Amino acid sequence: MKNFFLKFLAGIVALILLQVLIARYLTPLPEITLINKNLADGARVLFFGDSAVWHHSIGDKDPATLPEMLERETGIRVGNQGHPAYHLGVYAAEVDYLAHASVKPDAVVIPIQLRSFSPEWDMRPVNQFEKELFFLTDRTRFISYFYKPLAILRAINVNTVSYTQFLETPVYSGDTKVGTVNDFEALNKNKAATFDNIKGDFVYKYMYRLQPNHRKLAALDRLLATAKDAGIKTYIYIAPIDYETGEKYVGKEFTATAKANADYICELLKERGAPCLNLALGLPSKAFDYPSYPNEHMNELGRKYVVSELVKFYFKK
Amino acid sequence: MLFNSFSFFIFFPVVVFLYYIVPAKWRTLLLLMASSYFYMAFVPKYILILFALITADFFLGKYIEGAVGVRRRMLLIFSVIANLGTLFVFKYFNFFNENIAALAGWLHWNYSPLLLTIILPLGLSFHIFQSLSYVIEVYRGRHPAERSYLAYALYVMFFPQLVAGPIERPQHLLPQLHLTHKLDFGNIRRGLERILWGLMKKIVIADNLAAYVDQVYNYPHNYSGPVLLVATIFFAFQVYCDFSGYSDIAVGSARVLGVELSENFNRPFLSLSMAEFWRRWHISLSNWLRDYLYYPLALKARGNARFRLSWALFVTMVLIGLWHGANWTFVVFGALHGTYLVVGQFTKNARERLAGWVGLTKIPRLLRTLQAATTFFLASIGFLVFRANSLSEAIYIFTNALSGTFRLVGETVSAFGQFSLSPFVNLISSLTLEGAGRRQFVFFWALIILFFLLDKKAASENEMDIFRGRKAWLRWSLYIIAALCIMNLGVTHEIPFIYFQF
Repeated sequence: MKNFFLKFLAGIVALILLQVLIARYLTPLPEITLINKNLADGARVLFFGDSAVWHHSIGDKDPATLPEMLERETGIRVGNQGHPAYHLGVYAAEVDYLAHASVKPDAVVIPIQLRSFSPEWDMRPVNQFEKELFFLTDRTRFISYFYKPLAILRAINVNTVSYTQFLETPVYSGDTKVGTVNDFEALNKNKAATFDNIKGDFVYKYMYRLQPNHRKLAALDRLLATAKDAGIKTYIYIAPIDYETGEKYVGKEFTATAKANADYICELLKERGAPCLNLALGLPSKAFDYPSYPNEHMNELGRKYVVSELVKFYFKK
Repeated sequence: MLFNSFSFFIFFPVVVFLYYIVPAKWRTLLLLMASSYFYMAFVPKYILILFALITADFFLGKYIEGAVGVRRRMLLIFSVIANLGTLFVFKYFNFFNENIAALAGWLHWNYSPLLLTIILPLGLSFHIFQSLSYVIEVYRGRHPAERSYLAYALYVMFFPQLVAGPIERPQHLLPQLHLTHKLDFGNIRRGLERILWGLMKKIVIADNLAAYVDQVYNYPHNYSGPVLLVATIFFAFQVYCDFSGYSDIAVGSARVLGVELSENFNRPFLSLSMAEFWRRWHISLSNWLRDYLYYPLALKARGNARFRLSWALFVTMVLIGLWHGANWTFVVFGALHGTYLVVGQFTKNARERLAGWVGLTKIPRLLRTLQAATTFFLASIGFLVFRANSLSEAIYIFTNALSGTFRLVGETVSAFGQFSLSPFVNLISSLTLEGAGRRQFVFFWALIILFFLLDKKAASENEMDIFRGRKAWLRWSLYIIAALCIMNLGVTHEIPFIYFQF
């Protein structure tokens, strides 16, 4: 009996050790590796964000990303932490990770994408980033090594929003319900760039009215509190959107809704004692890529504008 | 509670620990409570249906034992009606009504069907068949009526085999439930080995293949013939690894508790004929239907012996199909297998003569390979119908997959002829699904080939799992490799065992 249990125990210990090795060296979380690399490289500012942060257009003379431009303008080492479809929930977790790291940056730049509050982004199952949130907020730094087995055995929920839930989420234009995600997703698939389709896309992605109980706002609250406690400055800006195209398809109410939502976020930031750089309506249509598709991907003109505004607002004070 | 869930990984060791520390007289109650908890993790209220049937069959068994003549027969019929009636209401009522409505519509009659909005209790077909087995055996005088209500309830509800079998006979399981099982580390080791191997089949092989199969079978019109063919082959391995994986975990869990369950699979893909396939595939169901349906039908049917046997065989296979679910695809699945078996019987001599005439009997290895390949091909057609969402989709997949086979063979031969790697890369790319890489596709094939080789190796050593009978260091290395594969190569979204729905 003793022999059996000893062998069993030895097997379990060997299994745990090998799992730690696999998780640590074969399948580490790229985001954590990147944060650690940026900090090890001496980055004093970390630039969070989604694909808009590192996107550049084909015609750009200067293909530099936003963090590269910011580094050039300020002379401060800026680390690029951009990742497609990231949002305030992940930024809050990243700041939380930084707050517990041995080396901390002086500041983090947080772009707020208005589209990230829409059901199209907020509720999309693949945009929930359960794995990233789990790794970033794991205080023990040990349980994360067992993330995959725990997820396989469903000890942790890695499908926080089901596809059915996503499709059933209501879509609003202002206060009026205009359908569910299903209606707009169907429109999204292989759609032709017709007037109605593009209009539908703009409504789907921007025409919600921001509510105080939105989970992304709660994430923003957490982010601010954590950064403050850790002594990390937060340089927050509301990212520009192509409001001219939006207005062309949806009408004047597009700009009004976007402005109202951006103002609402700024009010909230002010209440928390954080400055707000509102660039939502700061750029004309020609500063964006893909004119018939609502997005925030900027060309060189747009990126230069954002960086100059950031420098003026946060770095020259 | 799924076997491949964290809850089971907590539940099972706790039950085992308690089982071996409580006094023997409390063990039946403990296992019954554990089984009830296990079952209630799905839809709690359905335990009432289960207990109602258990209570009815327990007392009917006693009355049947004490009765004679017509009364004995009437009590049996009553039990059969109670069990099959419950199965009909939950599983077949809507199917039956929908088809009546379709027929009425075709005849221009006004009939609006009553459809029940109820969920099928988990594993209903399994425990109903197990209950029926008990009353029939008591009726036939081959097993005495059980005196202990708790033991009988546990016979129906024993958690390792509660929701997907193996379907046990009272002679095999009930006496074991009365025994006091001492802590035996040999049993525990062998049980844990089976559980590990079962988890490996389910989590690493079946669940990974499911990603490809589900995408293709849910939208078959979006895919080319070769992709449909590959998905069909993948499904054959998926369903086998899924169900036999479940059975391995069931057998292994019971073994840890000192109880030996029947084997449900014996490497069916190595079968040399469809008749042999059914002796190796879902053995407990095949045996159940053979003993309680096929033999009585064959004995009672009229006509010559050959016709009687064929008729009984065909009907049995159709009912095997229908047992799986209330859908025409399952009926056709059964009928197809019935046809295979009947035609197989009628052509047995002719096939043997043909093999001798072309000289294949002189090369037995080649003959066996061809027979196994043909059996796998025929079984795959059955699986195609089994998995398709409707009969029309099954026909679409079949015709396109068949033409896809020729295309795939042509493209492979042509790729070989070019003496270059790029045609193979292009070929693999054409079989890769959107959003999945070539690497994933190669990984799927590697899984299948590895599994097939391991299964074949275990078969040659007459072992039920790959860990048995090896040197300690090799066995422990295999344990750890298998556990690491389970921990890292599975999928993270829930894929229930396929046979849970039955």
